[in-house]
Amino acid sequence: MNRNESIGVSIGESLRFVSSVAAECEALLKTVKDEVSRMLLQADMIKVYSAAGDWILSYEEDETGWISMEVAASLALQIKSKRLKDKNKASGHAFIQISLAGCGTDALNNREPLIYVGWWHEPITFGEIQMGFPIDVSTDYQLKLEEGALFRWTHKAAPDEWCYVLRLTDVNTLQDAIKLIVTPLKRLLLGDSINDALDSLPIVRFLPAEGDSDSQQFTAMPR
Amino acid sequence: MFQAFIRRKSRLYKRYLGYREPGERRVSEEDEITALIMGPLEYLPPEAQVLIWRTILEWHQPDPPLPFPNTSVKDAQIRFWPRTTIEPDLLVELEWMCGTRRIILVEFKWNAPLSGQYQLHRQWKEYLSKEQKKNAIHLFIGPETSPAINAISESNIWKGRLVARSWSNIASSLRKIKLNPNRGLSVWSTQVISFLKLLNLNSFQGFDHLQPPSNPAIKGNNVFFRSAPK
Repeated sequence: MNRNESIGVSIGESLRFVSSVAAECEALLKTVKDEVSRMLLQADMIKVYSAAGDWILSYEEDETGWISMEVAASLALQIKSKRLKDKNKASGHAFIQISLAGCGTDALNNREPLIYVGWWHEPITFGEIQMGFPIDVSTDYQLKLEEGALFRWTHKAAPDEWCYVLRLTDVNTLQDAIKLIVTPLKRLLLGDSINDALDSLPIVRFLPAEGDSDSQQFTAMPR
Repeated sequence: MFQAFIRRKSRLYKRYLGYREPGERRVSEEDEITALIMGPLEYLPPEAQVLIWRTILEWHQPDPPLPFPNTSVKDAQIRFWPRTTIEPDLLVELEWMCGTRRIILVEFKWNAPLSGQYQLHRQWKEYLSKEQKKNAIHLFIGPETSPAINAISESNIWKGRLVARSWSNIASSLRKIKLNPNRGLSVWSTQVISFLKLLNLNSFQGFDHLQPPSNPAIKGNNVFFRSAPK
């Protein structure tokens, strides 16, 4: 096979591969949306939260517009009562962000696509609001990495926001999606501790790396 | 029609992805999808019909509302768009030899929102009598389940009897019966799965089965699409 032919074959195979990855990402998003919606009907959740709208989908394309590098789904939740352990919690958005490439995968020592699962006030829109590295910091919000596993943002006058991170290729079945995404999301929404919600799960753990007054970088620990 | 779509003899299914013929204005996507997918059930024996509804309702749900008995099936009837003051998409009536009866009131959604904020509430309240409700389940099937979840959040009048399934859930659940010895049932479920896949509603299969490109053309730091330095 000469070089041009080899490039041609590579282009064809690579595009088919990307297309297959995209189909699985879409199917995973649908699965998570369905399972989170079902989770909201469970007795302990229905007492506290209710859906406050439809899922908001957002895509981030590469510079050419040919390929989606990142995709996210966010669902607004209304808190119905103050029976949470943290009484200051207000309504916000549960979200999942899949980052195949781009700043969502730019933690030091990471070369893999990542999934972010979290609770933020605003939905992920990729214009200004998305999870990525290095993480922007400001004097208004205090960023903490808890147990090397959960990023938490606190503000004097506002309730907290948080997210944890998975490697995309660790999620391969419906059961994985429930065990690694839906159940921990539920437990954290209900105020369980990080250890109770995330311990023993193959989530990505981080160490703080260099940072300045505008941003903080983190190093992903190996599997 | 499934055969023509799946063998790519017809591209008419593209209308369900939003494509329109020149001059075509209104397409009754929901009604066409309802008839296309559920129509063949009328030709299946009652036992097969019951197995389909059982599979959909019990999929991934350890405690389904009003579980079906495991005795012999006596009868299964379906009525499309039965109308009173309100018109659900499908009414399914199932009866077993032991005397148990179940009614499934089905609302299908495709690319449109619910017809008003209280469409599901009205169906449950107005279509079924008090007596019918004792044995009834309300089933919502749509691109995603949030309209049903929002309806419950708005006012939970169903007490666990509103079951929400997405079309992807349907594709996943039918995988359980596509190898069933009943030929009609296995053909129908296989065709529905393939049809939903054409409409990008395939079930999640994971990433570990994907075949990475086997022929990396360029070695070193160059990546696909970037021309090599001369």
